[in-house]
Amino acid sequence: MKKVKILFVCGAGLGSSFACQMAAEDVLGKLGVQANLDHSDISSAVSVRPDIIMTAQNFRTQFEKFDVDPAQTTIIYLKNIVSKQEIEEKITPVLQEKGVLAQ
Amino acid sequence: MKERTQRIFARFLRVSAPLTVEDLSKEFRVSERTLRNEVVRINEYLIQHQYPAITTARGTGMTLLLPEQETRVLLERIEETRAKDYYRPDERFLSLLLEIADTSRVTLLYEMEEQLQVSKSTLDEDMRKLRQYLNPYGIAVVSLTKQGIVLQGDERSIRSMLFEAIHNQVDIEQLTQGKSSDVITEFALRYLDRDVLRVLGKLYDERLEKADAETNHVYRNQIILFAAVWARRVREGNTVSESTKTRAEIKEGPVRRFADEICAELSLFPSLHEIKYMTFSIESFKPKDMNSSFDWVAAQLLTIQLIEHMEKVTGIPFSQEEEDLHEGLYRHITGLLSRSQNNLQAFNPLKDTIKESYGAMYQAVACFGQQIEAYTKTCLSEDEIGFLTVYFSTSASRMHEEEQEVYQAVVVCNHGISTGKLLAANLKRQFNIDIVAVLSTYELSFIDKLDVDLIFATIPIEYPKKPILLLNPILMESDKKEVSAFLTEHNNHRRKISNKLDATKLMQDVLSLIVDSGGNVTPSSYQQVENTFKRHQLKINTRELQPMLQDVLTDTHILLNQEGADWREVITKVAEPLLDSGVIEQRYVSAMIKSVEEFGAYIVVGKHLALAHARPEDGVNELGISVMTLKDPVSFGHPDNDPVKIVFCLAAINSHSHIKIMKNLVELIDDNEKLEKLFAAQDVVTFNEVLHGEAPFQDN
Repeated sequence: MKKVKILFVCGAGLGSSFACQMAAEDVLGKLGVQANLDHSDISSAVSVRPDIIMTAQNFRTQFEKFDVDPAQTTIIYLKNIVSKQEIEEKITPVLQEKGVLAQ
Repeated sequence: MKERTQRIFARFLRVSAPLTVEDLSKEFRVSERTLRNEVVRINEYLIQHQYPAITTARGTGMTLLLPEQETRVLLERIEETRAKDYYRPDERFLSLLLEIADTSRVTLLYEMEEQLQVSKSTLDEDMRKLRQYLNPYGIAVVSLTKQGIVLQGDERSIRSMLFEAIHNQVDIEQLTQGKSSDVITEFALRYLDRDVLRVLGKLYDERLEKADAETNHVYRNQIILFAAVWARRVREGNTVSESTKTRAEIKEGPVRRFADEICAELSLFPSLHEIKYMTFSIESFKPKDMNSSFDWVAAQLLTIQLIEHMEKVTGIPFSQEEEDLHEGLYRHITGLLSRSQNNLQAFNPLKDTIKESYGAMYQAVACFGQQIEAYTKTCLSEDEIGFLTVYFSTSASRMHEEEQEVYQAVVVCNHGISTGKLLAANLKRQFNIDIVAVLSTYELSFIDKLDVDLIFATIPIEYPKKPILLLNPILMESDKKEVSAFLTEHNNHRRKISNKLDATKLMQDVLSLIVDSGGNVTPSSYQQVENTFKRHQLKINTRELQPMLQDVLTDTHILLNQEGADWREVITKVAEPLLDSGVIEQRYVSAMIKSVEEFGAYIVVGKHLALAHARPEDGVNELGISVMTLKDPVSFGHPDNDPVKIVFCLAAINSHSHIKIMKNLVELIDDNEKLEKLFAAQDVVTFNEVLHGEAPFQDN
């Protein structure tokens, strides 16, 4: 199974995104998904071309300005970036779609 | 009268010595203000019933002086009014502590619920308080599959803690007479055993009462309590750690005979080492100023903490030198505490020389000075710091001598591999010889390939290139002499070793090299580097590379109950301590505000919790964090998590060194109960207790 690359993004790429990454680590562990996780700031996020970007709701307008290829990268917006419940709800269908998680 | 008021009241009735607000507030775990209010309430009651009130004397504390008869009447009245079927929190506390300390039986939490007749949540809260109480002693409560719940920590600390816990909560006059006037004393009596206490009292009066030279009889009951705790721990097989290098010389005298008789009467068979600990401790109950509080426990604790602190800071394994260092330091600290209580200044003529020659160690001791000052309430002079430094420098040089130089050698043996290995092990242990390999005669050609200086053989061999010594496979006394002579003869082959090298800086450099050359240090790649270092036996201080929240969040960086008109002001205010201490520059504050203006309130990462931060290149000088709680919640503009009640300000230097801090914060975000307590905290001590208080603990 291919290892999915997930990037966690916030303004500085150090605090909130890191917190979100830790919460997601637990969720992925629970789902049994092996993933490549990293966090970064918004300006360098797009050039990384990850499979999934997870970020806070308020970055939506910023990302919409960027030219992100939806076939390459799915962006997940979170209301509460450390909520494991929200992360699990939103990431599960995406992982299934990407074929890393059984339907 | 409320239950707590009753307990404080009873405390005044039982003790005639002055009690200070500070000590009592610690004992009853309430703020000083609450305690003062309680005293007001007690006085109201006393005046209403025409008794004299509690009086306060400047400098000494509060006392309640009543005739014995009236004291008894009041105590009985308090006992009557309490609910009969329930244990009070202080009773549960001691019972729980003694139950867990008892290693002869398995303690399980659900059994304790039944025994103490409390709910699981009450017991959880009791356990939390207990862990908090044990924290300063360096003792943890852990749950093991077979043993149930047990205490984990230095045996000396555990004994000091048990002594202090019983001493503080029980009337020890009654205890040593085997009388129990209340439930608490009964718990202590059950733990220590009435018969044991009786025997100890009898032996004390026979042996030590008459020998007045080395002990102070003011401490009779304390010595008996100390001996009882000792007897109990030794009987259960809990012994103080013993290093192989111990020089167990015990002075003959009444205290030693007292110790021997205790063993004989109670059928205890402790090691010589334990006897030494026992006699040494009793002898340290030295005559002191009668008004001074009893500081045996404080001295023990400070000694253990100081050694740990020095080991952490200098990286020198002082705890391995435990015996000599511990005893010397302990004696010194007892003296130091009594000196500072009597405002005596010790003069250290070598102060400047010590500072100069052992600068790093002197600084390390000076750092610890605060903890001693917190106890003595006086300033720790440079002279005293100098004295303490000498203990460590002596100990370090002793270790240095032992480890500095070694011989590298091979053993050649045809008696089979295990005999060869045994000889190698013995040579290693008894001399500074590092045995690189054990070979047989037909492998002699290997010696050229090995980096060795000497050869030890159990059969005559021909090998002209290096010095050879012929030995018996099992080392005889005569062999040992020969080895010594052989080593002296070839001491030009000795080599210096430096495997104690601290590689923390090296690892830091490697990590920044990865980043500089365009790489990215993620938590997993960080882990790989750390594992690589460990695999090569390089010593690194992970606490320095990735500190935890409590390592970085200093008291001056905690602001409580602050006000802020809007989120901009809040961010500016929480950043102030970091700015003042030079952790960040002014532009970092602007960057944090700009980032919210630009992207929105994403920094409100949890319910009522914001994490203000920007990028390292926005003006961060070192890793730091500050925190502020808000008197009135402030809205940051987050749809779900507003309003904000607590703000952390994080200054990160790269993408990995703050990982442990982030882990602490993420755990905090999930812990609503803890957050509520943090919002409510009125002082830094309480705040810290809530934030870092809980030792890691896995419940079954």
